[in-house]
Amino acid sequence: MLKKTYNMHTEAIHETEEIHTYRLDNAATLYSLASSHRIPVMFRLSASLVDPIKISTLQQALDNILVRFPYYRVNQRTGLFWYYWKTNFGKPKVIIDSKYPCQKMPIRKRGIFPFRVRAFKNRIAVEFHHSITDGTGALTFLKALIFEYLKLKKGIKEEPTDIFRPGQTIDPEEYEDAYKKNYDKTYPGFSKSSRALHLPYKLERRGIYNIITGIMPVQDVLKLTKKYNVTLTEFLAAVYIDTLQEILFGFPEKKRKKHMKPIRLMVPVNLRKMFPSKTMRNFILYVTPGIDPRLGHHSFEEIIKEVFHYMRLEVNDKYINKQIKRNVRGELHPLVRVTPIFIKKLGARAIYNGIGQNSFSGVLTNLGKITFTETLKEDILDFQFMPAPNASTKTSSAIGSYNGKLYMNFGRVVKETDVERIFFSKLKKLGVAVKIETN
Amino acid sequence: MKQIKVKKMPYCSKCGVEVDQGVENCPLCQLPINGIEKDILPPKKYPDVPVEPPGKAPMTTEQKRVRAWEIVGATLLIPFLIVVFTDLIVNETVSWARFPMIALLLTWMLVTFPLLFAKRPLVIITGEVLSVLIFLVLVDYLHDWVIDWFYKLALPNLAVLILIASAVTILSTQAKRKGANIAAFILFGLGALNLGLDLIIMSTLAGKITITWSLFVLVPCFIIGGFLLYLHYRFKNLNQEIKERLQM
Repeated sequence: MLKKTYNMHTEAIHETEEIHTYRLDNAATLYSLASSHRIPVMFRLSASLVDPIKISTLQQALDNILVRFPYYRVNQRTGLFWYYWKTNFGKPKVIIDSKYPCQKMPIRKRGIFPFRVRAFKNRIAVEFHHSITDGTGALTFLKALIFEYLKLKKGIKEEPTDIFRPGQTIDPEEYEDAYKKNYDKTYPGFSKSSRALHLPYKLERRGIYNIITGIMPVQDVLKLTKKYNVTLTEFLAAVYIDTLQEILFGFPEKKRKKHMKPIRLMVPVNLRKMFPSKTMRNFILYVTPGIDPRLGHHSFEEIIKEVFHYMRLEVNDKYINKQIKRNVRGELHPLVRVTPIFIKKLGARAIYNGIGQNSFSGVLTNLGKITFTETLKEDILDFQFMPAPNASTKTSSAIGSYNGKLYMNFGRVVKETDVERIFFSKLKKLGVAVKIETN
Repeated sequence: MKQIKVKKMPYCSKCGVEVDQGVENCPLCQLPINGIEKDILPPKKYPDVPVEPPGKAPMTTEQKRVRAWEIVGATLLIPFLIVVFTDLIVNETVSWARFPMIALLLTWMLVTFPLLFAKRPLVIITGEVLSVLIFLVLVDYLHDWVIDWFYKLALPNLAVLILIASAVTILSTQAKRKGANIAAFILFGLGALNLGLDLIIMSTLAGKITITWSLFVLVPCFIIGGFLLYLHYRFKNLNQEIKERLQM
């Protein structure tokens, strides 16, 4: 049953330790094929605690919880036709944080885990390669890690149900490839969208990733979302689109004409809410709200309206199913299946750019409201979500809120701070108190 | 955090955003923050040093040259082995294959010197000349197991070629103002080369010193070359003028 449904092979070598090999999910395949120094597909979640982190305790906590996440305790291997995951019996080490987070990870090197745990002062961070999981999976892992750490440090007896604990049995559904489960070959495919505006900034040297964090009271933003009667993601997406529009219209005439293309944002959607699944692997797709500046300058109200209606139309299971159909069909095509992996790798970048990167101008990913066990709430200062470096959009953003504060991280691979500057100035003008931090 | 709550946070007067105590410039617009307290250091959010991602370091030029040399060598080895084995299978000995073999060896030698001794022109020139000499000796010898025409034809011809090429190179590199004069030097060189070849070849064939066909090359080369020199040294702004006239 397990083998058939989830493409997973399990083989016992000791009574307690089992070797798993399982196939990559649809999104993971593309991320693995396309990953490079410029496209590291590493995103990050971090939490700051009240007290400085004790590395040895954190290492112990990591060792303890890893058995609860057998699907992350892996190393990517190269098959003849596909990459696959295989159990990695090594121990991931807690490492020091870097000035530039989210750098490339050689996931196919022997013994390398597809994630890393970093510590700096009072902050714990996990950086995940997108081919192993999405934001939801990473957050579950980080919460489990923090809980175990605090438990070891403070000797808590409590065993919460909403946090993954070492002793729990693993639900086979956590392994599932939810894309394939929801694939129906009778659905029509998804049509490709045109090229979107890409800000014409020069990339910085490889390995540089500039972070600007905007911290604001959630209430300030919620007041505005109520005023415009939209969700928080929709509101911030509209401000982001307005920012890109302002940059585009600020160009000198010749440059403006050259770059006059639709402005679209990539907004990932957590599909677990639409298609019930307990999967701890990838289960996201994205929608692309935006405007077409070729039709003239849009007022903020017009942008809000466009985004609002677009999201109502696109964010539903039927539209998303079309995207699943397109993505999974490619993977299941007999010709694609018999093509050796090294040939697939040659074409992967083109597909990655073609169905993704080329059609949007910015990224806005929202992990939503993050909660933690009520009794330990006082021990955690913040939760932050950081986007993967993106060489086509140059700047991308990730949002998460915790304990009444909204944390918005902009990561950029260029020098120019125009997007962040205009974005936060707009929020400030709308009455949101913004505090800025940077690396 | 508690300390920050008590004090009023500094902010950027342009963007309006708050920043941490001690931050000198606004992270967004780089404008200096007003009224910062000089003695407070901003809280460190990230370490100062980037942790280099593990991975391949980019190759240096030197490594790239060695790699190119290796690839050329491996590529030349393929036809080398093919001709050897074809000859061995068909004739059960190395007969005609020795000529493509030495030609491939020569190619390999010619590539080796510039790639492995890129910054030592003397080594390159000596190496290349020696390679060609050895190649010619071998061609002569392997043909009928006697070295005959190498001394009479190959060596003198090669000597003339080297002399003239060196002269043209020295004249061209030494010239203060480069332009039509370079073309003139090359033309003089070509004329002289033809004269030399004619003298050596025809003298060997006829048994006495004669000049035959090379005059038809030599005369036009020197006339045109002379004209180019005249242009170059008489009209000093010629290059500039041609550029102006031809601008698109």
